[in-house]
Amino acid sequence: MLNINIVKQAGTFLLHKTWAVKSGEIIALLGSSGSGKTMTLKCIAGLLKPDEGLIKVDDMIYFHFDADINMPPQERNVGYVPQQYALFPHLDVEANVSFGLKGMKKEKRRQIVGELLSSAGLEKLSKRYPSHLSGGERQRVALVRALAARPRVLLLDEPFAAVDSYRKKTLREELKGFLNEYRVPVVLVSHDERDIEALECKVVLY
Amino acid sequence: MDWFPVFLSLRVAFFSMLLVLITGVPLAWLLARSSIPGRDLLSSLVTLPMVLPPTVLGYYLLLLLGRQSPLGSFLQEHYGFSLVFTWQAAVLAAAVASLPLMTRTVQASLEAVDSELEDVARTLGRSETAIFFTVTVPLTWKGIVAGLVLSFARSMGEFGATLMVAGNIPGKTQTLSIAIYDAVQHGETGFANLLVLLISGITVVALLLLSRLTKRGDRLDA
Repeated sequence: MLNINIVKQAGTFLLHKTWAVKSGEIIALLGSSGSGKTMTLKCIAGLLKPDEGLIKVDDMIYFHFDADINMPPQERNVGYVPQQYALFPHLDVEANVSFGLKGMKKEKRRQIVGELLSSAGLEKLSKRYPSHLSGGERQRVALVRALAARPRVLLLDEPFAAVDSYRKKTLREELKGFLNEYRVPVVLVSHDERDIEALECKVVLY
Repeated sequence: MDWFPVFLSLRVAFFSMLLVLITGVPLAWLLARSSIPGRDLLSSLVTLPMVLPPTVLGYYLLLLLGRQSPLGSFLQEHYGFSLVFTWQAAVLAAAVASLPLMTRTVQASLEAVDSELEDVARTLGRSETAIFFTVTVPLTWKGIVAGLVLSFARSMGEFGATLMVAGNIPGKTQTLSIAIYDAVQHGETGFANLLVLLISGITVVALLLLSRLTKRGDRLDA
């Protein structure tokens, strides 16, 4: 369960949101651009600091203004898939996916990455570089990379923005199947109502 | 034919390049990524050697390193060593003169790295140091190498500041560019011509390497 109640000022724009999402549920932040959706994701990931409020996952407090708690992003174990996926251009697919698994034994890492790649149908692409992948493939790699370290929360920023429109439908189905296997709270940023229907999301208006 | 000035200049340029690498990259990082107070002042100070007359730079270095200065007298007292009029002083002069080239080049390539990549790396649990060496540096190495080549070329040609702090001692601190000046002053046109050709050749080769490096499109440009 992810609970958030945050206030953040950015210039003249004031973000003030309160909502919660359970494990295995998807919540969609729906709204026009500039309404603070990405900002909210970054606050959850620890990349931005809210001015006030509370963010917690189950009993773990990520941010609590009154208690002066602000856990660094490194310790939050959040899976974050930004809008353009932000795959590391100098690393192949395999290295991208295993990036968050440092500190693990090499064999164990290999095994986890191998399983993840084949579950996403990416095993044949493991030695490819991101510049040689299609939009849909990039999205899958970014998703698998975020899931590799077994995150407590998954954050998806417009996961279909960089994909051809005729591929979106299949990719939504794919994503849905994938998320069913990982029982974590999922936060999805979108401005497309079809995403929300297909993924059966709860909605928060932004 | 005395080859000493050629080898001295190469040595000075090499060590200046090393100095500029260990000071310029952190400086560039501070300028590109941090929000420390006085960042703008630091930025202007870093650019200063590019616009000040080299003789002024040299004069500052003399004030900093001379026997009357705190640093100079400390070195003299504890190590019996004076930097002024040594080849090491020439290295310092060359490094200060080329620091802006290094810092600006690396800063530009740091600013071109998508900060989202570093953000994702943070959420994947990697420390800031690990991120610097596994994400930032691999994506900016071209800028770092370009900065080094420019610094090398600039150091090879350093004249004014070097003359002020290292002097013109044949066989000790007489670098290539100072030897050229000397040769012209003494009417040794043949020797001057040879040295001029040599330094031009070395610099052109360095700049050619640079343009090949920045042109080559490999997967890092994706």
